[in-house]
Amino acid sequence: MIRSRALLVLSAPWLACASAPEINPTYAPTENVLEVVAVLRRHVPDDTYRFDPARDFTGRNVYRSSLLRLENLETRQADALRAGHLDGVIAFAKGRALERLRAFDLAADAYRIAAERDPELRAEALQSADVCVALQASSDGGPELTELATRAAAEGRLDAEIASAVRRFDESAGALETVAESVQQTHYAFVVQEEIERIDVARADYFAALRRLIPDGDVRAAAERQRVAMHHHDSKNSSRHLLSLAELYADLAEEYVDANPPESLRFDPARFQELIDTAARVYEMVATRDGTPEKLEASRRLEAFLAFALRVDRDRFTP
Amino acid sequence: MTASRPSRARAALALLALGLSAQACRTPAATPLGPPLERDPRFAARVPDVADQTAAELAAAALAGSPSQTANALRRMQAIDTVLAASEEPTTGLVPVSHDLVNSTLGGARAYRSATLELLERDDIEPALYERLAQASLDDPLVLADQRIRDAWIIDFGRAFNTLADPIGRSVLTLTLAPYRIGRALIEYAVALRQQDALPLQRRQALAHWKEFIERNPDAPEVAELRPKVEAAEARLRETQRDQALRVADKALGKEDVRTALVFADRALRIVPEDPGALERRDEAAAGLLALRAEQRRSLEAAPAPEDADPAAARPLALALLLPGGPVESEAGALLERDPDGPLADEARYSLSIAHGEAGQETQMWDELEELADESPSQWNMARHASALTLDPRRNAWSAFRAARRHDRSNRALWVLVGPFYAGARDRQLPQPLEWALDAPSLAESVMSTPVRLLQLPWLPALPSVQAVAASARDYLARYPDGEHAAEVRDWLVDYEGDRGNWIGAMTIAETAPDADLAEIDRLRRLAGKQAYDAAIHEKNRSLRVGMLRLIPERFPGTPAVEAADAQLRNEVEFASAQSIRLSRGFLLENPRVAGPRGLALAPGLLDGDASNGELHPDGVSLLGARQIEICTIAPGEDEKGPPHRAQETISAEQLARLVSEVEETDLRNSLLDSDDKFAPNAQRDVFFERARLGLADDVDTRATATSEYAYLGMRERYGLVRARESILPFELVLSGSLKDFSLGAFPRIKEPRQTPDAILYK
Repeated sequence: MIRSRALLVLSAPWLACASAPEINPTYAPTENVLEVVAVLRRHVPDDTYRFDPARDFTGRNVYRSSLLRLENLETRQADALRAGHLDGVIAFAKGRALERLRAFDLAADAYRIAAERDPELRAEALQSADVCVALQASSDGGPELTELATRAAAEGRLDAEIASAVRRFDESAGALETVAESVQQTHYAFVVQEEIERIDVARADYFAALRRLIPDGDVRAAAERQRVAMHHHDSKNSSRHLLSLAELYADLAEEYVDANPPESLRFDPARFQELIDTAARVYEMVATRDGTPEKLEASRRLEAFLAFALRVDRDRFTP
Repeated sequence: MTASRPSRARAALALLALGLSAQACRTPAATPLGPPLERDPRFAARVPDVADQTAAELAAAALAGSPSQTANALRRMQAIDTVLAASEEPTTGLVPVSHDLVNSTLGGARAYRSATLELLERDDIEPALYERLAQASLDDPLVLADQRIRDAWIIDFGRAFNTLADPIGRSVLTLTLAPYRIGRALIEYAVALRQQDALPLQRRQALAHWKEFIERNPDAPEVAELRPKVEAAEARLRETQRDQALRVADKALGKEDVRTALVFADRALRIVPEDPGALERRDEAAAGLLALRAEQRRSLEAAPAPEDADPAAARPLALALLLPGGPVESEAGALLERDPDGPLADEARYSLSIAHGEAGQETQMWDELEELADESPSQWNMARHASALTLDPRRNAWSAFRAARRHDRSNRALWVLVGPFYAGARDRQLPQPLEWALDAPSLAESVMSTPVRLLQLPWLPALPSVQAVAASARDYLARYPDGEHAAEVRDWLVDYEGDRGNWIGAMTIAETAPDADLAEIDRLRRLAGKQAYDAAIHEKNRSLRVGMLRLIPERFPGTPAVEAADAQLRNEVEFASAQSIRLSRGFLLENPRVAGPRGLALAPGLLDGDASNGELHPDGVSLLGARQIEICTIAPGEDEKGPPHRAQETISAEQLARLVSEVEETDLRNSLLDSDDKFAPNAQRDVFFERARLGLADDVDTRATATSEYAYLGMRERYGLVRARESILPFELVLSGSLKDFSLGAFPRIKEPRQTPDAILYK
């Protein structure tokens, strides 16, 4: 016991001198509202349709991290902010962050608060709230369309269900086109383009999901995927759209082999070649795009797809 | 051995073909006399003899699975040959193949293989059958495994032997350097041995063959001997896979990429549970990841407000930042002026840079951000945000472009100086200083040859580092098409694309310039048109090819490519055919059965080497789909180098069926008799042949992907008169001289066995 106490006494000076673990100042907590607002403002005009959203110094989406930091500042510096000088600023900044995270309803709420708390922001905040309401209305998915269509197919009214779904997609896209006209030259132009792209992708996904239920479903699904790839070739997601198209053709090739074993007389080398060529060409297009993660994805998928083609005897498929 | 007779026969045919061709070249060609094809050749009906009937009985019994009848039929067939031989008449030649047929009814692949090996002992087997049986006898998992193990052994032994033979051979004239060279080679060998997988590729192949054998023959006596081998090999395979995963984990840890390191350390642990090395790396990566996440969480938190905090002071600038067109510059300036070292000064500086950037002062913006990024983050909280921006190569593309160019230039300079070491020491999975130490002698030798590389510099192709420059240039133009540096970046990118022959890319970029030089655009358009035309004519898919040709006048108007594309399009339309399967003149000369009455029934005068009665053009005969064939003869007054005279003929369904059967059988037989004449599969051709044999050729498939452009060529056309033969010796003699170390020597080098075509499945 005495020995252990002696040890403790002897080691006390050493423990006192030992420094605390080094804290990296880069990751220090946020200091003030202006820090977040300045960073967020830097990225408000960003063209998030063509380019990936910015990331902050921790690698997080800058809109998301700004929102979290603002919320934490509101809690942690509640006393200092009690006077309310920055209430409107914080609400407005949260609106700007939320709309880039597709939480249009919450963004509209935040803008309304900003309009209420800060007269200087009122006009801009109300205008932004209106745009967010319109975006929310257009992007509201409604019921799960694929599920509806499957049920409709079982009940024998698939054609009507598809017509209704297409009408809904067209209406949403039309409404967004109208919004786009009113927000030209603002950052909302990019947000609207992103929403139009999402609707086009949803439409293509819808037909891809239904392709086995409708006549010429494969052709329609491929046409829809091609339409997305062509309409949105400037988008940051263009490589992803091409990958989806290639993936569809790869699926079709695999399904074709499953349905028509290569050794059987039903197997048509020309049809299989068409599917393989198309999928491989599209994968190759993406695999040549330097500096994108999709390049790696496309290269590996192409490799995997060609490995699948090795299953087919060379007298039935000659690469 | 067995292929020697037919090879000689084919060589003689090739010589004959050469003679005939030479003769054909001398005389100007005339119009063929008479029709080029014999119409519906008739063959006398053949009455089956006793041998034919016995063969049919044997086949029927084998198919019906009747062992006694099969044995009886085989005995009868042997008796027929015995009688024929006794009466000094030619035998039927059917006995070996009859034996093979009987062997194929034996139960199991092993029984068939044993019987085949026994059959191969006979001396009356015709060469093509011998080759087929020999190939079948090798198709056994144990034989294949033994071959792969032998390959692995040769590789191991060969590497050790070559390690010593090379330095000794090089030191014949400079003996004093021998100990140094041998020592160095041994060190290299030891390092390579350390890097080698515990279970190299060939042994992995052997393992797969052993496992297949056990699965197919679980009760075979060899299984007891194989099981311990399989277990040992599997343990080494796990070791190999663990080592591969740990190598990736180590590299990731070296780059502080703890996520990747964790994934691969985990993978190594799944392969070899409780492996100490994997556990150590997993713990290190997990600790690193936890620390990183804690840091990231901390950065999202908010610091307590200082005692003297005045949120109102931030309001004017915050409003200016949030309102469109807000007076950011004046508010930030005012804040900075009020308190240049105050707590909000860095926020003001950051905001100022935003204002300058949006006013088009791109350089000023990045300079200000870089200045702020250089500040200490413990003193100025905005330094980290500025740093994140300036270090983002996509946003700060100009800086990334300049850095990449500097790196590329320095790589070129280093290449001149140290040659292949410009990118660093060779990766041997050793600590870097050790890798450099191992490479030091080679590095010194490389430095000696600097003058040679200096001379090569103007022709040095682009180094891989130039791709990063191009990627940054594209990023810059995408984000800042009218940026301060756009002209310079655009010019560089146009040059880069031009240097690598991508004129379409170069033209597309040049066209985006606001003050584009029209003469330069015109030059680029001409080159781009030619590139598009070249790409189109090399496209195999007909419909795609036509589509590409049609685009040329639209995209490259006024260029010579338009005329060429139009001509090619006309050609495509004029000569469009459902199939384009060619039998060249050389092929027909070397395989007279195909040209003869049982095949094509080509008029003999077209292949007699006498041009005065018309002669077949080297392009030969093409099957165009349906029952159409095209016969290319040397055009009157022309020689064989000129364009052919094309004539189309329609043959009967029976003749077409006979022709394709003859072509296929001849091709298959040739592939068995000559290892250089490999049978080349072609799906579209085979479908057409299949339909032709069934008499369905008239039902034409017009899809572009149904077209075959396969060409049957003669061996001389493919390889010339004298074929280069690969030595059968397992080693080669190397004569070596080097200016780097002034060495000269000769030494034997053991050749590594070639990897089998399925090696890719084991990598």
